[in-house]
Amino acid sequence: MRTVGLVVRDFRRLWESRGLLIMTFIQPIAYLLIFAVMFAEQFDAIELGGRSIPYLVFIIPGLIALQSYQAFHTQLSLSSGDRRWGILLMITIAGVRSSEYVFGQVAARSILAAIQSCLVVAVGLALVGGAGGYVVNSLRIILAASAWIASTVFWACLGLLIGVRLLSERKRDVLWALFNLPVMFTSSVFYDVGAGPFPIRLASQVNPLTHCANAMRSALLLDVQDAVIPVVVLLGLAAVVALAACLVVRSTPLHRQAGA
Amino acid sequence: MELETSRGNDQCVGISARELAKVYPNGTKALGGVSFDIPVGTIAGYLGPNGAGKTTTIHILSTVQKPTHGEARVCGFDVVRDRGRVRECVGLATQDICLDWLVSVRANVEFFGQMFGKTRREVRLESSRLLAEFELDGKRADSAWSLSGGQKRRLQLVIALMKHPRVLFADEPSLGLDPLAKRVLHNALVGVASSGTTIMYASNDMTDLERLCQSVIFLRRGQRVGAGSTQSFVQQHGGGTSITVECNAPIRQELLADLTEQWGVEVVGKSPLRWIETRDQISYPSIAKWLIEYGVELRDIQVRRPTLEDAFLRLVEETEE
Repeated sequence: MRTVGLVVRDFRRLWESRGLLIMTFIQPIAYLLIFAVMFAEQFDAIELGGRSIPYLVFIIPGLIALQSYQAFHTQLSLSSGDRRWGILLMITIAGVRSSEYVFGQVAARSILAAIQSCLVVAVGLALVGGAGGYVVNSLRIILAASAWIASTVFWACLGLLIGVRLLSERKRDVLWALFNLPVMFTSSVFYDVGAGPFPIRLASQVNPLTHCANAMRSALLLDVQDAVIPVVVLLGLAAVVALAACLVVRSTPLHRQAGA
Repeated sequence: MELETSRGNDQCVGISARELAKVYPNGTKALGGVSFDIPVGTIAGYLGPNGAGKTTTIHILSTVQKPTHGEARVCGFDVVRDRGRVRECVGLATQDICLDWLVSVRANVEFFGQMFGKTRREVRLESSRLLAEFELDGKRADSAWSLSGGQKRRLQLVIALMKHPRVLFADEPSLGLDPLAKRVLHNALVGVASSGTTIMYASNDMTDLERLCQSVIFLRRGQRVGAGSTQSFVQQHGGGTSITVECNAPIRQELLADLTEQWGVEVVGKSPLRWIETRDQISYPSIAKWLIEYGVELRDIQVRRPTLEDAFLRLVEETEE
């Protein structure tokens, strides 16, 4: 019941702030259209796994992976607000457990990211004009969904555990500014990072967004076996960060300490 | 009514603290061993200058923080060992207003109601009643952020009361409220207390405390320096009733001597004539009659009884010394 309440709250926030609601659903479509119209014109195709893949077909799994990463920023802001505004204090005193809070927040992020991803898929397939070379079966869908869910859990929990520890909005914004570009551009969301310079390739290996995008492409376009390792890595990371998030929320001071 | 300080019948004690202390890791000593008992179903005022430790006490009693020493029980449960049970029975209205600023009044009430474990139907019924009682029913669709300061504070109390707490901690609940809103708040709190809820009301608004609280606890630099029923506290620390007599002519010296001898008063001012009366059984009309018989032409007599504010200021001065 409480978890449902936490999910409902997030959607009410969106519903009652129409600008935010529109932005939330326009942003993924805008990404897709920009990449489809601008970059797809520039690049003929991308050579990947021995296949020549049209850029638009290449970018769609990446943009689905990107929606899971958006959970990081959203959750960073919301959890930071929950701490600063005393909402975390109030719900803890109400008896909400740290695991319930984490689960509720992750569920809200996942549902929202799923809707965004569905929009990307629908508009993307319309632009591609059919199946576009994607290979779909039960195993592939399970692997792609596992990668995407694990990635969403990972990013949402990471945003949450950092957010509840940040009382300062300024620090939060600086962190986001420093974090966002390196994560996006050392990942294989927009291009084949394997063809990039060595430092980028190295950074991409420790970037969970790369693993999500690679898993999505392997599951939907390439050899399905190549999706297994990234999915396992993502599931492991998600489990560790989710546990850490529960522990961090539990140990977070609910008050502003004297002299702090 | 004397405030209980010894452990009595636990069922009659809503809040109990023994040698409660809090020292922060940076060395700040917020509380230095505070003890008190607050009987069930009463409103106890918790007063003291800024930084006295009022909010820290409320945080400890509502399990937001842990004490570094001492023990406290709320509804009979230990605030450290039985934290979960304490949380089930307390409501908290904090000094810093805790609301979701991104959503409407209705959404706030429904969200926190669900967090208290209430069903949607219970939340709707209860919120309708409380929002009407606190005169916020016309603001349901408004954003919490757009409310005035007083409305935000009232909304926070609505949320705290939705839980039907057995113990309510209210930290400066009347801050920023206009007199009308204060009356609404007071009536609501008296109603809540009469249904058996124990209320700890931390405030520096002496008029509020005097009007509302059966007992008071005075805190100074983390120490309890006074406690008791509000009336006895004022009598004990307020410094007596001030009687000011304005006359048409200057008071003669022999009158002052006779006044002291006859009535045992200690004159503190001659023009106008003023003395402080600490005795209970004293007849001011008799003194006035005596003055008239003495030939004094009275223009006005003012009797000013001590207030909680007088007691507060005197205690602050005394502890300063």
